[in-house]
Amino acid sequence: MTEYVFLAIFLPLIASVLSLFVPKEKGKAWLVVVGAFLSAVFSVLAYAPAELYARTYAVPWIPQLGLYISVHLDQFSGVMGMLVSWLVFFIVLYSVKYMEGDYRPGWYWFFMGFFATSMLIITYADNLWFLLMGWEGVGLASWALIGHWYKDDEPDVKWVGHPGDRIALVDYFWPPSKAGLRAILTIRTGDSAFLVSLAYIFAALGTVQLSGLLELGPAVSALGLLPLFLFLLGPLTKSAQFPFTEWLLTAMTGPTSVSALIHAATMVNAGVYLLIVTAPVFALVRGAQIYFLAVMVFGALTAVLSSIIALTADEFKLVLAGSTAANLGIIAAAAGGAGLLGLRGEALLPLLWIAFMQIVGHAISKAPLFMGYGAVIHESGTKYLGAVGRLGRYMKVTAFAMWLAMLSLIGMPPFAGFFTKEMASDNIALGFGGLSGILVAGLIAFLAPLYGLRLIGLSMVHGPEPKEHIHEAHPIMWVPYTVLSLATIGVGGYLAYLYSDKALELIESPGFLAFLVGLAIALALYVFKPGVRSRALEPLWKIGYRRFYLPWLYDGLVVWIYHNLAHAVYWAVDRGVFDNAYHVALPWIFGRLSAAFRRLQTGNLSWYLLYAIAGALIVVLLVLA
Amino acid sequence: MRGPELYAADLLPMILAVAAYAAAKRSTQMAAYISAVALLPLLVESSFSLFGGYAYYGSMGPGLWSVFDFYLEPFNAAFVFTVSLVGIMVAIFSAPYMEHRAEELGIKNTIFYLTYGLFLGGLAGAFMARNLFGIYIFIEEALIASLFQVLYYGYGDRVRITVMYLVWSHIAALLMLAGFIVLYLNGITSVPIPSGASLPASALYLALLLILLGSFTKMATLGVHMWLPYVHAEAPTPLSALLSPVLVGFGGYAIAVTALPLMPKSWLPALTWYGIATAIYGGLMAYVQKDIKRLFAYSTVSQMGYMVLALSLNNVYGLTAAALIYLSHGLGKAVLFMTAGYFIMHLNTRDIDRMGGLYGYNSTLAGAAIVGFLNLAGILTVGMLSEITLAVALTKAYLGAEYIELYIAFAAMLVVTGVYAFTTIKNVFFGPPRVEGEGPYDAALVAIAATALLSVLLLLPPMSSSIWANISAYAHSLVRL
Repeated sequence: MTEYVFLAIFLPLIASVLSLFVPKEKGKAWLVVVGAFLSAVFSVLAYAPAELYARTYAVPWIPQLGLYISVHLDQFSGVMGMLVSWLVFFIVLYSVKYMEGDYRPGWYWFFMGFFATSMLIITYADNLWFLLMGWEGVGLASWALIGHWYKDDEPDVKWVGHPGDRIALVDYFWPPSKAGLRAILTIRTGDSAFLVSLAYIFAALGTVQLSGLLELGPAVSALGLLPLFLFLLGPLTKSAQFPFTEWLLTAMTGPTSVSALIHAATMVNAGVYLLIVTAPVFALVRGAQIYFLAVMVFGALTAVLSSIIALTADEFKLVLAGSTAANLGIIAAAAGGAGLLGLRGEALLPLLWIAFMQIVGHAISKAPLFMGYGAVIHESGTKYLGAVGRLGRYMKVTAFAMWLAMLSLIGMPPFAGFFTKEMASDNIALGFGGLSGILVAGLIAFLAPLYGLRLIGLSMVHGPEPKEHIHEAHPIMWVPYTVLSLATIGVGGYLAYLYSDKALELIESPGFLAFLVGLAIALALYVFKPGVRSRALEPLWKIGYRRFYLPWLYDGLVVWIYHNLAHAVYWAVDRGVFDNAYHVALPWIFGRLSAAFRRLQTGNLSWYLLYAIAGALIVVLLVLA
Repeated sequence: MRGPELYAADLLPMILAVAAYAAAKRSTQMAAYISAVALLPLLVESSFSLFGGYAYYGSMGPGLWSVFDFYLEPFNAAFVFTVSLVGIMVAIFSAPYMEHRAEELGIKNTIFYLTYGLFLGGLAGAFMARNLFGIYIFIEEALIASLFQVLYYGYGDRVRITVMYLVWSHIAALLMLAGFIVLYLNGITSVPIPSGASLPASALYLALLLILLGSFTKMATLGVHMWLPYVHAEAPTPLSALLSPVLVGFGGYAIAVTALPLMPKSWLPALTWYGIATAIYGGLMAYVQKDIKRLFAYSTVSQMGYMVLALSLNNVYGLTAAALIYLSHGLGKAVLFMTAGYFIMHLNTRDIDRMGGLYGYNSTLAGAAIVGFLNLAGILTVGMLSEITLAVALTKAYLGAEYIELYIAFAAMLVVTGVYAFTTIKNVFFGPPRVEGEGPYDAALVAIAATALLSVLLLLPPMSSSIWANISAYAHSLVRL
């Protein structure tokens, strides 16, 4: 079993390293596809349902530091591992065609495999240092792939935002190289705190094995809240929780296959997954309810605000990115809610499982959506929502798949998304408790069909007729996303069977009611009667469209302060004080001193005699004293 | 005589320097390869110690000869290993580079290769010397050898820069020497000084202040850093690739073996903050630079701050981190300076504003340079090992919510490093391409890529496992109890 896990984890990396030595693009591509496929197969073979951290294997790496190559095989890592590796396989398969003829194949195929292995390390790692290797790996890979089109060419397809758009001196468009930088710097900020927190846990408790920490039991309670909050910054930035959502939205500069990978299978899921699998340990810490409350509030805030961003965005991928952030918010909030309920005496693991299932539900719906809209951008040559429409007539298979995946994403029964989302909403509602719980869960459920059907309605059903003839995508592209979108029904059926006793309860929940209201409005506004506009809502729309002016804060204010602070210190202190002191003032003083002493050298012998006598006298006096 | 292999390994680069001198009259390549081969025995011996955990001791005899006593334990072997490895890579790199530089200047490379072996032999000797005066003699040899390289092959106003280098490196060396003399007068002659050796308070403080000030000047930490950006930017690039990572780090080693075991514990927190301040300051200044060599020079200031921080934590983790930072910074910065050298050679520029989109110019170079930066930023290279060890050292020394400001400062330090590292990568390698054509695959590129690759491999087990275990086992003795 262990060998299978290690094969599942490392095969994509091995394939991608080998791909560096393959000269032809096709060779690279198929090598990584084969690696990903084998990894997926081994992830299934390694699947071993068990309690959290129940089965662990460890090989020492640097035991003095508490660093072990160790994995835990349980229900969470098992399902997550299969989800990640199969999605990776479908996405790299899709990429074979999607990335054909790209100008940087070596980079792309290397980082795709590297990305998969990094994420699988996070998935299976029992040791937090080992996990950190994967954690840094996904950060690095997403930086590399977001900025894949490093030449910053073709703004209409490869950039985010409208080139030339500015708000109060700050550019509101993002070429790939800039988007990559934004991503890595946001992540670095969280990761720095995350690193300190892991070191803190190791220094305080002597281990960073998740299973070991759980075994410590009550001893963990003395850890205190500080390391928990430092830890939290890692998942918050990585999973793009508010106010760190921005990098994820501009991450859309990467190829669409990369977006699918980041959003559905890897990267952003790493954060929320980690929140879930560490919750049983952190629940032991004294004061943990504050931590879980923070997780829940950040999550809920992200869910609501990102839904609004998705609702107002005018790019296909930006809508999907906003919806990813929203769903991550739901997962985080559900995990926080689970933690809170667990502390109140309910069984923690089943509640965490619910939050976890939303990762699955979201991933299998989101991956096909990204791939499908990637095909749309590929065929239509535009990324703007509203620039091309009525695609359902030309790309029938794609439109069908997009409908299925979107219905699942927004939580329509009987798709997978319905079960996972509704149950996650329950976690949130109960976590907040009372009316506020119902309101928050209701608002989140209400917004999803609006942004979802807006995207489908304005691109597949209505909108301007394409100017050029549009073909259906190549089968290597449409097979993966169609299969995945059909899987939303399959998984939905399985969940219906599994939770048949809860189905009625879910349908009667206030969250589902809010969903139905949202769905009705969305159908009316975007599918049946499109074109309804309201001037009164425009100011509100603008705030959402401008993404709450957060880009202005990050690209404007923060950068301005950092840039000018560094320059001011450089000119005032480094050049002004140090450079002048050492290289102007000091030489000047020495120059003056030497000039003064030079005057003593008169060439007159009697003067020299006088110096000698004076010197001798001073020596005599010193000796006598 | 004991341990002849240590002396043979250290003297070989100096002896073969003469052969390299002779060869350089005819062929720069031959001289470069002789210089590289001359360092192999040092690399092998230090590897045995670093990876195998062996300790070697050498003595040329009693009395005055004891000045030349040598030792090689995994802790100092980490330093010697870095010196010899980077020395070999830079020698290979120097083949095309110095040919280009000599043509530019219209002179021969004889002096460069004569002083190359003397410089590295001296530097390795300083790390292996047991006796305080032995350390001084060897470091002086390295300084003088490198002075000639700046004088003959430097850029800009190289006479002025040479004087600046001469003055500052000697202020550092002489301050250290004065500190050593104070220790000698109190009966301490050899390193590593046993932890807690007793000295009269006044002599102790004097010695510590002198050694610290000397070492800080050598490391170019905040306030005494001003010489470094000038010298490292204007030195011939192969020398920059050696000065920046391996020579300045000597100050950290000196603190570890001579000052730290004696230092009153009450001094340590101030040192911790000074280290962080240096790291943040250096990182901010690196961000501002437009000359890529000056940028890397300021980044060295920043990394030396990391090293001071590691030392100040006064535990096994901190000392291990210091040795690992020397190693990771050594490899990473060598890659980066060699990359700058590649640009100078083939694009005739050091100006970042004239770069951009260079990934397309040579993707292997870009990949290697990115790995170089990752070493500094502590991501998935041996730099990550130093970063993790440093974080553990910090929390082992200061554990509790009351140290929150220290944690924030530490995290800020990592962020500042990330900012200049990734901003520079973006400005140099990404964006619309500004240069046509394709960068050649030459010996320089091989050296750059190989160094980068090694810095990744050293993170992996079993290399990192043995490095960490061996260094930490010997670092124990340096911790102030």
